[in-house]
Amino acid sequence: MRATPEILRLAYRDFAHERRISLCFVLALMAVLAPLLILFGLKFGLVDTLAQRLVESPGNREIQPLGSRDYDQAWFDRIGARPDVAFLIPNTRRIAASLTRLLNTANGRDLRVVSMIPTGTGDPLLASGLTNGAGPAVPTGLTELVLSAAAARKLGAAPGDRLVARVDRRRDERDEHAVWEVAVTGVLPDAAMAEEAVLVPLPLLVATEDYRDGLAVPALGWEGAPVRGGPREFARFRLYAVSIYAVAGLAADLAAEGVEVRTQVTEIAGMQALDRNLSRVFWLIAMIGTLGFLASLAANLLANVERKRRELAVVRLIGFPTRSLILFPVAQAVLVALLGAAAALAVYLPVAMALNIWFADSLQHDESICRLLPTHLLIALAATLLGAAGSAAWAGWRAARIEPAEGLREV
Amino acid sequence: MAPSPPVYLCQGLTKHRTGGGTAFELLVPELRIAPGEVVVLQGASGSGKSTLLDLLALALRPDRAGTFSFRPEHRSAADLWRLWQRNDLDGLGQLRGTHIGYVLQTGGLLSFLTARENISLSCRLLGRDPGGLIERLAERLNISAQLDKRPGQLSVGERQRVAIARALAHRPGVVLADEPTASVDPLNAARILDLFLDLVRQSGACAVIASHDWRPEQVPGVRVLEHRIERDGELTRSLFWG
Repeated sequence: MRATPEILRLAYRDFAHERRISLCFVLALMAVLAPLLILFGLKFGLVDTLAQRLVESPGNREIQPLGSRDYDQAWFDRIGARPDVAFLIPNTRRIAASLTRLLNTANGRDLRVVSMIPTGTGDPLLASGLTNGAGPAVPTGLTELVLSAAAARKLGAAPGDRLVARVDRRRDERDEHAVWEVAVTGVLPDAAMAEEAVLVPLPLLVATEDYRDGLAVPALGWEGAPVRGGPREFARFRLYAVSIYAVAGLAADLAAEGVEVRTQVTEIAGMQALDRNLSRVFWLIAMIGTLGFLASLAANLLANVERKRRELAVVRLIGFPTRSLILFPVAQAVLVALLGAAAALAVYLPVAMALNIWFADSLQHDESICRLLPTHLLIALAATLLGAAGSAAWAGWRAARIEPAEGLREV
Repeated sequence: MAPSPPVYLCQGLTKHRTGGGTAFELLVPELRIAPGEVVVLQGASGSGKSTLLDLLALALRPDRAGTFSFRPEHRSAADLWRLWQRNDLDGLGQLRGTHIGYVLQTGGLLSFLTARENISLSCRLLGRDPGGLIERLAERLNISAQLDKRPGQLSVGERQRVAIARALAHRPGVVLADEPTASVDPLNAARILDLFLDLVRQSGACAVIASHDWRPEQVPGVRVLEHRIERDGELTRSLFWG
């Protein structure tokens, strides 16, 4: 049947002939779609990024023990194997967990009473602020450590530098101390922690605790009483849940075992409420905007079909079938939708780029203020095409039910 | 020799029109049009000529019909009344597109196509190659120079001639014309009408022409339909038969 290719040709010729009006339709569509794209881009970029930061921030995921107990290796193995635990490492008594002095011999600057934090593979602090995990290397052995940003600034030290560490103790009414050289394997980003502290391998922390207890540390040549044999037990731990949503459950299970902990549950609840309300506000605006967009699209296309009544009556008179009379406005609507969507994209892209540049200082690597995935854009295009074709098809169908003579003589 | 069956056979064809506070009824008690015949509808404006032409063009639904059948040459008869009752707009459209050419009073051209494209539209829909007929028609109608212009660039008379060419280009068996020269000055009107009749006769189609000022009683082979207007209370009734 020649009708379909012919009617498509007629639809295109009419569209091109009325260039100015067609352009108005395209611009009208663009004017409503472009802001919607930017709105959705902000949701996916800014709002979801902020929510993601809140959710993944290590500080919010930390579960801290209250008081001291004796945790054995079996306990660490069991809790560490839970799926809702992101990182678990033993920790010593609070009193033992500091270096008396850390000295940078290169420039003479030093830090006194430096907190030591045990670290290992998978420590959230080492990966904080970076999405691809390329943070400072995990320190190992007894002579490596990672400085916090504040500590590094105070000492004027950088990765690769060598420092001198010192611990003091009192044994048999004598003041003793041990010094040894340590290497800086990395520096934490500012976002990880604000305090001046060092991240040390667990064996190093254990060694200093032993020394403080008057024991010997043969590996470093420190003298003292012989080490007790048998499995070690630890007084505290460092624990992070996989996400803020897992914190409450994990804390409850620990409490059930008799392990008292402190969490950020209240702050988390507050943040979750904020996230939820922000999402609601966004979706409300998006829904109103989308409905408005579809309504204006439909109104424009319906008005267009009304305008074309005479042309459609002539086409019907020539003998074109009903499906051609529907295809005529649908083809024009699809043209408007494609061109309008392309124009909206042409507005959205530079705006999104500008927003991301303006806010670059507030963003971390790999984050965006305004971002849309190709999938999102395809969905927007599909929705526009469906809305356009749908309203045009309905209007065309209504026009097709009119007798040709009626359509012609109304003028 | 037995007469060939009529192209149009109508009995008791009725159409009501209400508008502007007046009720109007068109009634065709009996009408037969033979193949190749030229029939004229005479009457003042508003006497229902356009309405009857629209009905014959399968473009207007009748309110009632005892018989309403259409039998173009080389085809079996189609019961138009039944097609309208079934609301088979596509079926009516197909009959119309293949067998009827309609010259409208106001041209009825598509403004976004050139004159040539307008004229060839029916042929393109039917998938037929006009084979030079368009050029020949344009030459006879004196619009050869206008073929590549758009209707908006043509004078009223030129547009009317393009409309005539369009009605003939796909060689229909029936040609209908609603006041084909109404928008043209009287001098050219007579010429165009003669030309039109000539072309119709050449094609062998039957024709129904509505005109309020043409008096073709002297022209051989042209039949004028009987016509009367009645007043029935509030209703104005216009009758055509022949």
